[in-house]
Amino acid sequence: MSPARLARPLVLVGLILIVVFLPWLGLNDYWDRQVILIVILSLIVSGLNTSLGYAGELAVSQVALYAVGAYVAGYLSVAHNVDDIAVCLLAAMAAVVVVGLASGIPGLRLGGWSLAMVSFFLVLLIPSVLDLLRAETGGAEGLPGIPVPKLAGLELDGRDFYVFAVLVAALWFLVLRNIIRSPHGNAFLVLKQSPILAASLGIAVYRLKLFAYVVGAIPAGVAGVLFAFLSGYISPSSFSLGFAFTVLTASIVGGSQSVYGAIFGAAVLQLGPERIASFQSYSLIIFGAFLVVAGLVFSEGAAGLVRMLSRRIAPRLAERTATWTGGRRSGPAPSPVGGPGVSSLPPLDGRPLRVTGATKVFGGLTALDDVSLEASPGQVTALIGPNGSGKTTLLNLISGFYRPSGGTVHLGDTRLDGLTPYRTARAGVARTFQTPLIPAGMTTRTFVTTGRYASGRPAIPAAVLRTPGYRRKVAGDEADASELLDLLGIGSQADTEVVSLPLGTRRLAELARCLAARPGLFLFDEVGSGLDEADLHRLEGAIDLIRRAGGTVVLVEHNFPLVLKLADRIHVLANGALLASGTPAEIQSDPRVLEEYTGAPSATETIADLERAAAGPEGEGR
Amino acid sequence: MTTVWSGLSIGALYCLVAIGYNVVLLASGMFNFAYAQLVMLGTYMAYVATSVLGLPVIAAVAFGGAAVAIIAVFEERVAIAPLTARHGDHHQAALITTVGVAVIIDGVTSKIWGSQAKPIPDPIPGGTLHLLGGRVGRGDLLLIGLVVVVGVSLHVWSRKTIGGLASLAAAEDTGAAMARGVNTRRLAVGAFAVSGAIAGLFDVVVGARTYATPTLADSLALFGFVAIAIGGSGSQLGGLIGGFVTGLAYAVAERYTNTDWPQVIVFAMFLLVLLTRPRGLFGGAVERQV
Amino acid sequence: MNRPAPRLGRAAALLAAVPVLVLSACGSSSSTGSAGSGSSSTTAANESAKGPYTFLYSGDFTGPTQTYTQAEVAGLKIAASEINAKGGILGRQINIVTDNDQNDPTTAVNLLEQKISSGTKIDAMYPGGSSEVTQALLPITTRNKILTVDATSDPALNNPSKFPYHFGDSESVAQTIPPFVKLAQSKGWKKVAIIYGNDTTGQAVQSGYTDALKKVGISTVTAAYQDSSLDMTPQLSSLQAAHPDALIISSYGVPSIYVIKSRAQMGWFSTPAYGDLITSAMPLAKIVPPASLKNYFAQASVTTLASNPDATRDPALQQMISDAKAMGYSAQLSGVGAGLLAVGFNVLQLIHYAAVQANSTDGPTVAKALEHLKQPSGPYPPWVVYYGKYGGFNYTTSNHFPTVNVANFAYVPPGTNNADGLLVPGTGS
Repeated sequence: MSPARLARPLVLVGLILIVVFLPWLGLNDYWDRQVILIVILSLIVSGLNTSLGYAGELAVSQVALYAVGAYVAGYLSVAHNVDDIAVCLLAAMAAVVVVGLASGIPGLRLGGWSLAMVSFFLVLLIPSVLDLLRAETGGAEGLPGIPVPKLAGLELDGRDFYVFAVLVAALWFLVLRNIIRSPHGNAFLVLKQSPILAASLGIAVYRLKLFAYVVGAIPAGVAGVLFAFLSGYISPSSFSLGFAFTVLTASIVGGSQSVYGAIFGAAVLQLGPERIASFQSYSLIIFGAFLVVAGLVFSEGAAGLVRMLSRRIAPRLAERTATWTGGRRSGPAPSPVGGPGVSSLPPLDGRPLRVTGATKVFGGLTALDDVSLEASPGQVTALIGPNGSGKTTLLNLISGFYRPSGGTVHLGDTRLDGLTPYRTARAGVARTFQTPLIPAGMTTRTFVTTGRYASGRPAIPAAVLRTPGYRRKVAGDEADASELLDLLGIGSQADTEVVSLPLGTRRLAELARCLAARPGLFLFDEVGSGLDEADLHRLEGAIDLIRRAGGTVVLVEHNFPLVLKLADRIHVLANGALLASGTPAEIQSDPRVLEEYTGAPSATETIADLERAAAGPEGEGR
Repeated sequence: MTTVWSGLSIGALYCLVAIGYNVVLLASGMFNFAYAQLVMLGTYMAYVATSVLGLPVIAAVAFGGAAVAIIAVFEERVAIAPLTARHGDHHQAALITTVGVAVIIDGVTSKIWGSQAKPIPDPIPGGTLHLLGGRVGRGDLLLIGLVVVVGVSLHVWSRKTIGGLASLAAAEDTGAAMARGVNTRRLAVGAFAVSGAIAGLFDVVVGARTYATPTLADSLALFGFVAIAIGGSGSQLGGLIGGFVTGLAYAVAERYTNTDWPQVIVFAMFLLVLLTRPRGLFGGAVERQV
Repeated sequence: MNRPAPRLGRAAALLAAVPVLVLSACGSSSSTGSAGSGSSSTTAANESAKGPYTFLYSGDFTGPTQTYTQAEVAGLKIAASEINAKGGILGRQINIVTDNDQNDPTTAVNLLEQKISSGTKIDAMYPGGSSEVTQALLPITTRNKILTVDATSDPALNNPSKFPYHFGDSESVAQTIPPFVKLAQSKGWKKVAIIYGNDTTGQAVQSGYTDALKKVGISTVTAAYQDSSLDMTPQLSSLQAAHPDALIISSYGVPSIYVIKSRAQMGWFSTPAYGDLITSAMPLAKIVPPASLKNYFAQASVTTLASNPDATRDPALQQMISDAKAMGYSAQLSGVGAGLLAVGFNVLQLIHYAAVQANSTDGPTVAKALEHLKQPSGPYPPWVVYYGKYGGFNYTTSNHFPTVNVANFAYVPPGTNNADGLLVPGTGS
């Protein structure tokens, strides 16, 4: 471990200690309270971030969950004299998890828009629900007389409460950080970029979103308990849509995707408006202007601002590093280490794919009509055909994104048809996309490790506690990813942000990601399109490697020469039906194929014409 | 039936806000949270025109339309344009900036006109009439009618004309629309101008019902949003239906249940809509794209 | 973006305009208004050495209740200028400081903590215009031994053992109810409908009327609306369907206009409608067409009626009115009326009076003096409204709120305030 990596936790602990001891370093009661309020707001914001920033789901329900936490603590301490803050925290967490599940399940099942709306209504309902429970909550009048909390019999007054609040928040941020900086956090990033990519990696999209949403409920509930005991009095006006907006603004200002951005955003939104309040009757106008400016300046969050600045500096550093290691920074890298003929890939457990009578009807349109084909391990099976012939439909059908209207799909002995995409992925299907789906905010190496999510991921408690087993697993994944990248000749890009890679390198990175999964079946969707000669060459090498290692490869491709070069068997699709099947040589001489491709009835057309047609704008541009 | 008329005319106000949200949403994919404030500003323009300047109703309508359109365009220039000039996802930032504009408008109106309500003359004098077994104000009938006309024509426009289709395309995918020669920035400015003009042109009709009050925007924003939630975003027809359904649902629930239940009932109704039509009653369908 | 609704505090602010009959016990008190005149010169010197007397007003300056905040602050400033002109409180000039808490409890506490922590010595304060804010502020002011007086009338705040330094300068909602009960009995009504805003104040009004009417055998039907409602036709329709003999309207701010408008649109004029004192705060006659106020009566406090000779005789009130005009508060006077200015005005006059009696400006000492206030002997005290035969601030160690008599209220046709801020029934647009 490098000294820098060792120093980091120490700096964090130091910072926490400084904040904890601030009252003894001259912090007065007012600032004491401000820090606690910032802590409370940052907890809520951080809860919002787990769903908005990581799972990509906009939801303002954190305010409702915050209210639940506050009222659980208020009710327990006022009505039942339970003033032990630990008990209240546990009860509040249990309550918010229940409410989180109850609101998250319908909201998330139906997609993002629904969750935002459900959560909006949830906040809207707070006063009504509190009023309906007037006996327990005091209704509109509020709940006064919340006592000073105790912890194991000790009164937490003034500074004790301050220390407690700061430590609770620190603990939460530590837990969150450990989840975010783990394969699960990477899964969040993938999810945010594209639920489709996530599913194809074996991530149970709905379950992960629900997990993020429910995990995000916990800090909101904790914040509610802290707030109830801090203020000693709670009323519905503290849990308004206006406050929901404050939380959202703080999240965006701090950067929804940053763990610690929440603290910055909370501080800005806690301290800013209060300063503005001194402008009396002009304060609304000034607060509005403050929001406009904040929105413009922090459109990608403070964390985004920092990232952007560092991105401007980072390339220069990377350039220097690259010179030292003798590698080139970008553009076509040298010929792959494991190029054609030099297979250094350990054997792959490729499994045979059998598609029988696959049919897919969209509305009244038959996109795929009774297609049967097989793909064997150690072979490259190519699917070709003009646009709209059903190639991608078939691919989506195999990978579970479409449910077949008829027919079956088997991988080895496993029946795939009817499985959801993430289950298909876990059954051993890895795929690429016509337009590579590349998540933001991760390095190429990390991107490749996401391929292993389907085959094995550490348990969340292990990630939180950073157990030795967890560390081993992550280190193993990373080493494997580095190896694969080296093998494909893009090892020098391992530490580059994957979104900054050029298209050709992206495709190779996607290939490496598929390889990391060690799948039974590789589905490559037009991996060759848009690549230049050098990139194509490396791609051919890589696919050849997989074939030699015994992988089952299905290749959907426009680039006819590439297909001819790589494929062991070719299936030609036209208008959703199988037109022809055979070896490259057989296909090359099949008059029906020529006719379909060129529109010419005779076989007088040469292969060269066919190649030109296939490599034309249509083949390349997409 | 009086309750139904009341629900419909209040629903018409929600429709108006939903229409304004949708115009901008359809053209730029963004949510203009300040739209309810623009409607409120319209009522103050009506007050200024009729009571301060002593203009006739027609002039007040034109005055409101022009004034609010200008303010809306100004909003776009200040709060939206700087964001769209940049790369990346700026929808969330637009949320903050448009709310910022909303707060500024709140602050300015309350600074200038205080918190007391300002009366606005009825566009059609003559009070209420009996219709289909209930009492309804003539002004309310005009409000309902005009909102339906505006909503339906915008719907037809967005589905049938080149400009409307361009707008739809821009909302779907700004980049692709730009590549096909749609001037998305001019479209965004246009959307703000049009939605602002609508808010302004309704100044007298709305103001006669609600008076010019500083709290109007909050109520309208809230229920306009509910209307969008129920009707589905990005569909003018959906906003129209959603607005009327929201107004009616609240009115009927308030008529027959206790205080705290209407909110719960409308929420339950919303969940029902959600379960049967996940994108809202008229929300565009999503197709899985790989 | 919903703002906190106006709550009990506002109701109370209006109720402060209610005249209070002096209880005979107070009237017979032999003490004089100059009870504190025996102050030794050393005390006065000590006091003035403390510098200005800082009075903090926490209220909403930007939200829907700003009009009332401004009127109360105007009252405070008038009283301060009068007292300062006479040498201040025991030699200390009053300095009024304001915080815009926007009726948000958390903000209010933050702003107060900020002032206390930054070393600002607050001698007394007006702890918020809503009972939520007051609820949140009182634990802090009590801990810091700050004297607080406001118009918040939530009974939970009348708790001298918990909040020994807090006093109300107005009466609770309950005091506005007996006049209506009396009226209902005299008319022989059997069923009364109530429409109210669903907030703290409205709920208190609703349960207050329901309980009081039930005791005399009159049943009630009630309906509430949310702050955000734009039309109360549904609620009124459900009430109308019950065929009540009378309708009570308890509505605060803009919604009261919507209630009147809905009632007019329904054409429901046959049942008499009675706006309570809270509703009367809105100068309805100025805003809605007169036709829609048919068969509607507004509860008004007698002392702010232009026709009450006492209103023109009270030197303190007349002084306040002329000072208000001189200080540029004419708009407040004719807008919300002299009664609301009196809320702020009375706070400082009362504190001054008690401080002189206590011969100290120390918060707890003044509070003690307030609990044993020697009532002024003359017909008119330095404060307004609660005076002479109308009433007084007769606090005890167990009661920090004043009391009100039924006869102080009248139901009058809605009207507008004249230039002196006194109500003239039956006038309007």
